[in-house]
This record gives sequence, structure tokens and C-alpha cells, in this order.
Amino acid sequence: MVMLVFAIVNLTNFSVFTMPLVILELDLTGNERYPLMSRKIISPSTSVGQTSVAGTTGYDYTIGAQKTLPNRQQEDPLAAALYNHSLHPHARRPQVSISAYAFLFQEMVSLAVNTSKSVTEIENKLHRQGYALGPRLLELLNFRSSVTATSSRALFGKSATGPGGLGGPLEDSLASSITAMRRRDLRVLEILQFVHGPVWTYMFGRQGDDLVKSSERENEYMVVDNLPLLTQFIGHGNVQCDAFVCGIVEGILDGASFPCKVTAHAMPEDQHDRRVVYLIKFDHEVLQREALRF
Amino acid sequence: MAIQTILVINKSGGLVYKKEFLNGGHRLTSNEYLVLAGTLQGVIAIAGQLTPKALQITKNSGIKDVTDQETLVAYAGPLGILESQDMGSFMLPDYFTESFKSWNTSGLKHITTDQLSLFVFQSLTGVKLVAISTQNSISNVAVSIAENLLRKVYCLYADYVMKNPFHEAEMPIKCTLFDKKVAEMVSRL
Repeated sequence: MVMLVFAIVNLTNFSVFTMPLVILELDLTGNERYPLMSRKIISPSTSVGQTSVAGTTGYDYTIGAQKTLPNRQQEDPLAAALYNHSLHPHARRPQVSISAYAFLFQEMVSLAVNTSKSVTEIENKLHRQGYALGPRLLELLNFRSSVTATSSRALFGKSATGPGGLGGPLEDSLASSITAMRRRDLRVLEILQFVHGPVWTYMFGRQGDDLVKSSERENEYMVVDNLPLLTQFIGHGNVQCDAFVCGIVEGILDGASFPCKVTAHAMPEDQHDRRVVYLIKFDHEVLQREALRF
Repeated sequence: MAIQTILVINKSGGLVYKKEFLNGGHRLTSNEYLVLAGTLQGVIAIAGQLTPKALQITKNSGIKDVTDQETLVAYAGPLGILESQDMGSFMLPDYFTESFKSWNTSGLKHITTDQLSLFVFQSLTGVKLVAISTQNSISNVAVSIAENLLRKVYCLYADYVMKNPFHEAEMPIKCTLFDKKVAEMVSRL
């Protein structure tokens, strides 16, 4: 691009044209890699953008051309803040509009319905979409429960006083303040409590309503939800849309090495007519492993 | 005010939902309801055309004047909404708690006969909700209560019909949850 500019300069001998082109060239070489995609907007007013003068690169209308170090890493403070905050369990209570959530889920179901031939196929598609979330949730929620009160204070207590609530480069990462990760859940009951507690709270803002062990079969457990958040506007039809949540739970349990099958069953009770029971059927190897210890 | 029937008419005048709450008395057949819906749609369109030109222009140009105050419908209390009710996507304590601007500015709002009254609530998208009550009420209070009630039904419609992936737009409403919620609300009046 710079060569092209020179070519034009050589071709046009008018001084009127060369002046702006030289400035253009300075501008281009001043930025490191994406000269035209620079995030800094050259503003004609001096009152705008005064605060970020120190961190600017390239040509600035109010200052003139500046020298910059090549390949300097430019960190987006907003992005850094987003990573910190979303990972932190107490920083703020993350809330999503339930309408937006419902409409998104509606589109997922519609897509599955329109591309499927049978009810089982629809449920399988939703199940698969949820399954992909499971292993990620397992990691994320384990990470979050590893953040102790002291480590979170170390990060957020200091940064609260700093400018804009952002910590310095050392305090930017929550990971450095975690001394020990949470112990992995090894028992059936532990992982089920994890699903019933933190996972449910993360997904639906409250704990599951009940956790039951089947009295008939050794390998069956049930998580009960009296009012499923995702399907609260859909109701019980032919298609069980809670297959999505089944997928998530199955993904989590599979990721934690508890291979199982999860199915949802609508079981209305007198008070809760939209009650859904998630039936978790563990593979026999899980029970065998469970019996080996002790 | 005893609500006899609630109807939902889609934007092209088709009856998409019909629910009767009172047993006994003379009842219309489903065919007659379809005719009623079509007729209402026609009358609303004609009434819109009959609106004086001056009013239409003020409305379209968005000039705010004194009459704006008059198109506000006052909030008429909870109307049978319970404290601990499941509000769907709405926040407690009610679906809405302020007076609201009526979208039905140039159409049919209210018909009164000796036997019954009929109230029409029109949404911005052209969906019309109709309530038929067994009282011949001519007071403004009754009209505003009916509009409050129908707006709440519209809120239910937004939740339990529009957020249901198995509902097709402009098609008859076959959502059991909507059915149940409307019945609950009317029974608590």
C-alpha cells in the first residue's frame, strides 16, 4: 500500500497532491497492522478523547504523528473486564430477559420441528444441542465454585477503588488468585447434588425442587422441577421440549465420567401442574465403580 | 361484571380463539361466532374510516394535544391477580400498574344492548380482543375495567401464545396454558 502511494506521488508532480499523500503515508505506517481498522477515531474536537491520549497509536489530529512501538500488544480493557466479571460468582447477579430467552428457545424448537420428521427426532435434536453445553458447564461451574471468598476479595476489593473498577495487569486474572481447584465429584450422590444445586442455580436461578432416588431400580435417580423455566410458556404437548435440559444434564454427567441416559417426564401434581421429572439412568459401570470403593 | 365470552380476532378478521365462561342461556354456534368476528372486523374498519379527518391528521402527524390525556386508560387495580401468582415473563405485582394509552383510537370500542355489552381491545399489531359481558354497562368505568382486563389477556397472549413454538401465526389458538390462564383470570374477577 505504501508503495502504491509512492507511485502516485511520482506520477503526480503537483505539490497540491503530494502534501496530503505524505500525511496519508505517515498515518499508514504509524499504525502497526491494521491501519484502516484502527479503533481510535480521529476526532476534530480536542475535548473528546483526551483521556486516552497516552494509549493511542498512530496519527492523532490533536497531537500530530506519534512514534509507537511495533507489535505492541494492545489490551482491550472492556474485554478483560468482561472475562473477569462473567467468571466471578458474586460480582454481580447475571440476569437475562426471560422473554428473550423464551423466544430464543422457541426458535430452537421451531428449527428442530421444521427439520424433523418425527417427535423422537425433534427431541433428539434438542437433546444434542443441550449435550454440547454440558461439558463446558461442568468446567465453568467447577471453576466458579473454586473461587473462595478471600481470593475474590483480593481481586474485587482492590479493583473497586481503582479507576473504572478495573484491576491492574496483575489482578486482571481471577485464576491467579485461586489456590486450589474444587475437588472433582467422584460419587454419584455428589455429582447429583452438583447438578441439583449449582447447575440448576446457574441455569434457572434457583435449586431443583427435589432429588429422589428410585426405590425400584438401583441406577435411577430423579431431579424434580416444579416449574421448568425454559418450557413454562410451552406446556406439555406431544413434544417434550425439556429434552434440551436433559441434554445438558447428560452432557455434564458424561463429562464427569458418569455415563447415563437422561429423559424428561411430565408428572403434574395437584399444586404444580407443569412439574417435570428428569429421570437419570446411570450405566451399570457407574454402579460397579461405586461398589468397588468401601 | 360477569364475563360471558372472550374472543381473539386476528388482523385479517378471522376468529382464532373463543372461550365461553357461562353455562346456560342462549349460546351462539361456532359458525355464528365466526360471522360475529368478521362483522366486528368490518365495523371496526368502517368506524376507522368515519373518524373525522381532522382527528386522523392529528394522530398521524403525532402532534401532542390536550386530547392525548383522554385516550389514556386508567389502571383499574389488580383485577384478580394474586400476590404470589406465576406472572410468566412479567414482573410482580401485576402485568402493568400504570394507566396506558389506548391503541384503539379510531375504531369500535364498546357496544351496549339491553342484554349485554361488548368491549373491543385493539393491539398495535392488529389483534383484537373482544369481551362480552352480561351487563348493559354504559359507564366509562366499566369500559376502562374491560380494557384493563383485555389488556391483561393480551399480556397472557404475548406469553402463552406467542412464545409457544407450536403455535402458528394467524391460526386458531390451541394452547392449553393460555386457555387455563385466561379461565383462571376471569374466574377470579
